[in-house]
Amino acid sequence: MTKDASADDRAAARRTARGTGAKRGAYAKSADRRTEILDAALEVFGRTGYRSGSINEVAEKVGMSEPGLLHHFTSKRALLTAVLERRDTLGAERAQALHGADLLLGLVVQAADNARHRGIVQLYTVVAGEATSAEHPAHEYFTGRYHSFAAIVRRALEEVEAVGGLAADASVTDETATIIAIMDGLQVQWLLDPEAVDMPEVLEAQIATIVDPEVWARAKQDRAARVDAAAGALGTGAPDTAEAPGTSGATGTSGASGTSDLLSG
Amino acid sequence: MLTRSDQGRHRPNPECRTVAPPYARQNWPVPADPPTEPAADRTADSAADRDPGRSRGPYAKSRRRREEILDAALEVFAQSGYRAGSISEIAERVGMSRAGLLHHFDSKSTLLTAVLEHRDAVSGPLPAEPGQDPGAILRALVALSAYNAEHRGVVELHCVLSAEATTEDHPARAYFASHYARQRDALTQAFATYAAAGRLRTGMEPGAAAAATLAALDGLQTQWLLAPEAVDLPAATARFLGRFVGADHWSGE
Repeated sequence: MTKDASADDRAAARRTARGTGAKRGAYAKSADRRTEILDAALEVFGRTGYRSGSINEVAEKVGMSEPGLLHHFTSKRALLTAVLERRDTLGAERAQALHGADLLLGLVVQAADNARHRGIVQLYTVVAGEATSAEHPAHEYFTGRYHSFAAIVRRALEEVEAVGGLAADASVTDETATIIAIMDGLQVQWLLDPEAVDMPEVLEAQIATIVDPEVWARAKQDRAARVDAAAGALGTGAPDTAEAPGTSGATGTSGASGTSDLLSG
Repeated sequence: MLTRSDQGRHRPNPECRTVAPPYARQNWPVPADPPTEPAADRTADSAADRDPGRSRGPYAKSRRRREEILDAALEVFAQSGYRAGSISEIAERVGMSRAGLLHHFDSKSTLLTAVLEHRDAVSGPLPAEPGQDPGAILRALVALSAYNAEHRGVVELHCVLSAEATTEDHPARAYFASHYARQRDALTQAFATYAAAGRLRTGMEPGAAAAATLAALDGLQTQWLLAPEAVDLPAATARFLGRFVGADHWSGE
C-alpha cells in the first residue's frame, strides 16, 4: 500500500509540475498521461533495448499498473511506435531552428548522440526494418516519416546550395537520399559492432564530400562558439551532447542538453 | 525414426544434419554471374522443377525438397522476420507437415542459417582477393544492386533480418556481424588501393568510405522497398561510388 501511495504521489507531483494551471478536462488529462508514459518508455527502452525493455517497468515508473498502461497503448508494439513518433516530433521541432550547413552539422551531432543511446537506435532500427514489409501496421507511418525527414535534409541542402556551398556535381535530391541511407545503414553496422563503426565520423566524411570546405569549417566554428557561450552562461563544463563533432574526441557521458536531439534517423 | 512415411526415402540420418550439408549448397548459382530469373514464384520454379530429368532418385529428391523449403523460408522470413516467421507457415507453403519440415531442418534457427547461406550463394559475397583489381569489387557492388532490384524477396530478407539481428540473442547476429566485417575489410582494401594511387576523394579515409558504402547500399535498399519507383538501385550505387572514386577509374566504360 505504502509503495503504491508514494508512486501515486510521485505521479501526481509530475502531473502538477507539468500542468499549465489551466482547467483540464478528462481528454487533456489522458493526453498528459500518454506523454508521461512515452517519456518513461523512451527512457526504459532506450536503456534496455527493444527485446528486454518491459512494459511493467514503464508502468512502474509512472505509477500505473500494467493493465492501466495498456489502456492507453494496446500493445508493446503500439507503445514502441508511439515512442518513435514522439521522438520524431520533438526532433522535427528542433530542426526548424537550424539552417543550411548548421542543420547538416546537426545531423552529425545527432549521430554522435545516437551513439550514446543504443536502445533507442536499436528500437528504431528493428521497427523500421519490420515496417519495410507492405503488410506491416507501421508501414505507412515509416513511409511518411521518411518523407518528413527527407524534407528536412532537402531544406538543409537547398540552403547550402543557395549560398554556393554545395559541390557543383551534387544534386539535392540524390544527396538527400544518400544522407538518409547512410544514417540508417550505419546504425545497423554500429549496433552489430560498435567498435568497428564511428557513426558521426563516417557521416561527416560523407557530408564533407558535397559541402564546400570553408562553409563546413565555418558552421563548425559557429557551433563550437555557441556551445562555449552556452557553457559559459551556465557556469559549467560544455554539455557534451552539443559539442561540434571533430572539435574534441568522443566523450562518453550523457548530457542533459536537448539541442542535439534532432531526429532519430 | 524410419517408420514415418516421409522419411523412408532419405538415406542420410537426419539427426546428423544440424547444418546444411555441402552438397545442398553446391547446386545453387555461383555469384560471379547472378541469375536473372525473377524472384516471384520461387517455390514453383526451382531449378529442379524446370529440369526434372537431371536429378533423380531419393537423394536428389531430398535435395530438391530442401531447396523448396529454403525458398519458402526466405519468403516467410523476409515478410515476417525470424521471430514472427512461423515454421508452420513455411511448411504449409511447400505442402508439408510441420514435422515433415523439421525432418529436413531440425530447428527454426538451423533453417534460418541455411536460408542465409542460400542467400550468400545466390547473391554472392564480394570478390576480395588480395592484390585483385580494386575496380572488380566496385563493379560487383553495382552488379549486385542490379540483381537486387530484380529480387525484392532477397532485399526484404536482408533488410528485415539484419535489423532484427541487432537485438540480443538473435541467432543471425553473429552471421550479420561477420558479413559486414568481411565486406568492410574487402572494401577498405579496395579503397586503400585507390588512395595509394591518389584516386580516392580527398578527405575520405578508406575505412570510412567502406562503412559509408555498405550503409548507403543498405539504406537505399530500404528506400527502394518503401518506394520502388523512386529509387534506381544500380544507378544510385554507381553514382555514390563515383563520388569516392571517379567512375573512369573503375566502371570499365
